[in-house]
Amino acid sequence: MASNQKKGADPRRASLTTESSRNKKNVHPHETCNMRHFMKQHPLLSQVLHEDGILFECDGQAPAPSKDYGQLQITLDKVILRWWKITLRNIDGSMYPGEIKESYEDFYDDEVAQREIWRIFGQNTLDYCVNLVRGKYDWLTRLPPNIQIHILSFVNLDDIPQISLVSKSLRSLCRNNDLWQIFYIDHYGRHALENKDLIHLAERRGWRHVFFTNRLKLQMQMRRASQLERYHPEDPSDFVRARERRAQLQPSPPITSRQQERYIQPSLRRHSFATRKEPPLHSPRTSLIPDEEESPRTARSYLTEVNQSPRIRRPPSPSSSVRSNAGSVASTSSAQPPVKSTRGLSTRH
Amino acid sequence: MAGHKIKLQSNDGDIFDVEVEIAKLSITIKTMLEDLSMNEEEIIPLPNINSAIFKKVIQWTTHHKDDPPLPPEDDENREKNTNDISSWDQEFLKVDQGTLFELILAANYLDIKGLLDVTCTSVANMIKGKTSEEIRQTFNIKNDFTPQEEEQIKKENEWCENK
Repeated sequence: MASNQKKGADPRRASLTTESSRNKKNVHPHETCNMRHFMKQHPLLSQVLHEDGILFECDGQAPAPSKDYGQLQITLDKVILRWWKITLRNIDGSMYPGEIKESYEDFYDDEVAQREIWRIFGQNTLDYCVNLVRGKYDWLTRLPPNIQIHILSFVNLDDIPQISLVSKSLRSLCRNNDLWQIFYIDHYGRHALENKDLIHLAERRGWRHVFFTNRLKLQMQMRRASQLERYHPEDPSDFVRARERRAQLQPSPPITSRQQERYIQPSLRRHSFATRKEPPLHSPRTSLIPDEEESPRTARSYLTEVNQSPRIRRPPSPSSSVRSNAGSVASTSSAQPPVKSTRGLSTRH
Repeated sequence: MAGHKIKLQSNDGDIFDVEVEIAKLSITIKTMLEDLSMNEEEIIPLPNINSAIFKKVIQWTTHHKDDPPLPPEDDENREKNTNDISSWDQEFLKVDQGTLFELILAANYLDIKGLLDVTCTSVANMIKGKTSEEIRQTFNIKNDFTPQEEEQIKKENEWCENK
């Protein structure tokens, strides 16, 4: 059925998809991509993908006034959309969850499914999905971090603000310590690495901080740091005393225990934003973006979190718990006769 | 020694006869040859490289085999010379994004620094001078910021620019 419709699809689509932003791109009918074939051709890229074969997954609630809940999954050859209508009135049939599960080709021609995605998840997600089934995958943000950093090390510094606005993953990449070390060396010369005090400061505050601190201020900071915190491995008490003295001299910013941890294990710090990206569920910091410039309060609360739950490395992300829920609801829904992924579904209007 | 060839096998079974000198541009293959002191007739498998990509890699290394070895990094030569990809390389890199990124990973896996640099530079050139929206379109990256977050980052960026 679907393939028959597909044959005559292209002229029809050009007139129909006016409300979607893809009307410009419809000038050339694009073929959808065969992901399995692509993976065979690109063995290294396919290693980058998730092992469970899910290319993209998200869930969310439609914007008010609708309260409908939706879940979207794109696997290697299927697009799966599930939704739960939430209304106060009990209308027959519309209360059951529904599911559409179709191939890339069918999805590409399925106005209704696309409109549903647009309604629940918005234009960004719809564009992303349509590009995805056409084989335009966001490889750049899937590459291993060291390669992403290598790529970013070739852009100009004034491109960084725009890049950090692209997405969350690129934003955290733009604050990567290794990247800023490369930028620093590019701008101030390789001999900077011979300066022990500078390295010491960069290990504590990060290369980005050092980069944006002007020379005079930097020299002052380095001198103060070397006076107060000269590190004697044979006498750790000296280091402790220096830290106390520094705390007395400089009430702000106080040395938090997290900074100590940083000092002792600078390698940990380098990845600090990555580990902080997924805070535990009970965390009070459900706030927007993890920020590199730590404020003492958040740093301390972070530490106490870590202390309280030392064994919990990676709490289940909200999406995965939803996924399991969704599966159960979907399986119960399959027992309900009215809900099937046919085209003329009444709930899809 | 000159013209001496070794056999390399891609993951789909094709066998390539490659001059040792060219193959040794890949540090991975070079160390493999040195560490294992392999027999001439032995076939070296490259389980992660597809033959289409490997052809591209050989094409590149063959063209660049006489390049002077990379000078040690110092201040002058790590200038921001991002735009000067040679015209041959530009032509070579006129491929779709999937192939380009696969080439990057292959260069990384085989440890061919020149190829890695030129492919990464090519991607960087696709980023440079673009607005965030244009970058998203070029690479199909989904904007996962809320409007508030976007505002916040814009503010931070102002600070960056006022440095």
